[in-house]
Amino acid sequence: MKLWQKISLIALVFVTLAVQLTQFYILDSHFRSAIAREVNSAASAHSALAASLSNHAAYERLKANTLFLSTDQLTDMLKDTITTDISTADVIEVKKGGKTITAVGTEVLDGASYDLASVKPNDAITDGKTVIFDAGEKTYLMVVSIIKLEAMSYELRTVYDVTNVYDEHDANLNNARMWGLCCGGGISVLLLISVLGFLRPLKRAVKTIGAATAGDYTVRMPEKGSSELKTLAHSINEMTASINEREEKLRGIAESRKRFADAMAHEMKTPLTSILGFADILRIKSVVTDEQRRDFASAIVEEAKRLRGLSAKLLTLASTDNTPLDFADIPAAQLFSDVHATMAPVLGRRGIKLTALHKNAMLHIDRELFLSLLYNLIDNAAKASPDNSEIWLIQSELDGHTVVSVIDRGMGMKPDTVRRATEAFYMEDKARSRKAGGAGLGLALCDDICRRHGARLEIRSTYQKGTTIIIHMNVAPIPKNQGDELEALLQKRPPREKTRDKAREKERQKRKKQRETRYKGGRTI
Amino acid sequence: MIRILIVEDDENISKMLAATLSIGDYEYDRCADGEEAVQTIINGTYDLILLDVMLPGMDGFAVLEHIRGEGCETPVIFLTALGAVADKVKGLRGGAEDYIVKPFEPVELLARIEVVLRRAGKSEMHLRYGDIQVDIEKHTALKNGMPVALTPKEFDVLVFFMRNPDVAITREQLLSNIWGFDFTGESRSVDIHVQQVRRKMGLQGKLITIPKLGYRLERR
Repeated sequence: MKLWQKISLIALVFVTLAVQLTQFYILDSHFRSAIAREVNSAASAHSALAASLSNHAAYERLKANTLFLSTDQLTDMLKDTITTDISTADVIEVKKGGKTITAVGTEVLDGASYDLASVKPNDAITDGKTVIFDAGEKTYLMVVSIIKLEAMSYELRTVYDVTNVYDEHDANLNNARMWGLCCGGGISVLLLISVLGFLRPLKRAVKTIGAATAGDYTVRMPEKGSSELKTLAHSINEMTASINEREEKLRGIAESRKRFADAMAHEMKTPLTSILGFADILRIKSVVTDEQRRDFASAIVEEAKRLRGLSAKLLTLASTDNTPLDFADIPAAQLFSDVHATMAPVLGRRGIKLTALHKNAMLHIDRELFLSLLYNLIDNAAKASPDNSEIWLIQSELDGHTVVSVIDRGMGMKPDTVRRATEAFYMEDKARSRKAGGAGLGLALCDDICRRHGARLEIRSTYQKGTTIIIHMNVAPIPKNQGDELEALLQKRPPREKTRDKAREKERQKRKKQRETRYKGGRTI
Repeated sequence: MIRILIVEDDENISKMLAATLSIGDYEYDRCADGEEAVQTIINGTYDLILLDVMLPGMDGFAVLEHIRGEGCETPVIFLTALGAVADKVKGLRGGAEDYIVKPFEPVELLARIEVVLRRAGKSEMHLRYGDIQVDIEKHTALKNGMPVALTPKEFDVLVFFMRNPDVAITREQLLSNIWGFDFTGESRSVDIHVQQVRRKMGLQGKLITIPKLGYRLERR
């Protein structure tokens, strides 16, 4: 069953039930009060009759001037009185000792649904006992009481027609039922329409999610309607947006992977093509002049060297992720003087001046790796700079963290190049980079080293004006050594022998302790 | 004389291609930039173009598109480091005649060039070596003007050597170029065919065996 069907059906059932119950309660109390009224009026009519009977008896006594009326006189009096008084009741009957003395209109009592004889008037009841019964098509109310006339007990029964009360009640019931049905129908139609209206956003949500499932993550829902549906629409929109974003990111990763693979193929195969070609020519050619041999062989050597450089850088790139770093706190002054000592003579050959400035900060770094990072950056800066220019290596504070910058006034990069600079194998100008001995891996490596130090590499460059490379230190947590993860994986191997396993366990505990203490030391200093 | 344009930005590969083409007795020009290549091709008269895909300025696919757009029907062989099927299809759909994945052996390149030239009707159909004359179209080989009976494979072997004189040909190269890549027979059958050709055509001392390498038809 669909939700809208369920909601409208259940609502309809409850509404109908509530309406019917209220109706029943109101009608019932109304009916009860009507009956009570009838009973009251019957009772008062009855007692009035009883009073008039005893008055008549007294009057007859005075008229006959006797102390007691004879039975016959009394009977006559009763007959006269009830015949004149019949207007107030439908039936009046006077009994004595179970025998009817006189009665009017008893014919309506034929076929009564109630055994009237079973009604035994209780002496204690002064205002009479009432019984309601059906006779034929009609409903009657009977009042029974004991009256004392001339020191004798008589049973007085009066019967009143109360059919109209019952008829009214039945009519009311029918009316109510009909109105209930009509209103129920109307309400159910209204309910259906409004429920369908309320659920329309749900349908939209289903449609939106369907579209997203089919791969269209750009669909958005209008965020309107009741607050719950607004929240739902908002959540769905957020979901599709986040999927969209993630998908784009994934696509970006896949694209950059493909670019990496393509570039890698190109970089590996280019030297290989020359090597294989020249080597094969040397092999198959019957006559090779000395000049040709030198030419071909030097091309082979040149390309093989290029391949060697490339493979070394690739290895570094691959292994920076795996080798555990040896972190230590090194003063910037010491680090910079090392860099200066190594780089200044190389740069001096081209008349480039290296200026190192620092604020004596302590750097928490792997010395060797960080040195190679700085060498790389300074080397890049030198390649971009004209002869006799200047390169700055500066350590400073920025927004509360330490930064190390390498600044040159060289040729700079275009914005697109800046964006892709850290991509492996990306070279702005292939021919120039290769002549300068680059493989397009420098900045990719630098970026990797920064990441391993929990630092961020920022490139600011203006084309034809120069480049500033900024290393923001300690902006991210230092990534865990993957070597440890590998060890953890190895430890998950299923146990082979128990005794050996125990020994190994001890050894492992010992090593773990050592490692922990080492790390603690490293962090607290 | 067949003229070939080499479009390759890597200096050493370009040099290597030039050396390979001179082995096959082709004339060549060299060019290292995509945009420059388009102009050179349109203005020049080349029989074949060896086109690198990754070029500065304009990549090989774009160069091909440009020259085909200019109505130049010169056959093109792509040289590329990308071996993906999608790239291959892209190149061939763009109207290239063939697609060679780097790295490759020079003899392989020469064989491919030969096939493309033959398809374009630019290949030499009459070959001569001393007193031997071969008509490729008629499939006949004459020695001193007298026809010599050769099996189709022997004929192909003879033609392959005559097209690549003075170059050592390995058994593998003969196998892949004459028997096809998927031939899985013994390389002994290559030796037998070469011996038959040598005997029938009287090439003793000219079609020589080079130990550990293969065979070579000496240029006289």
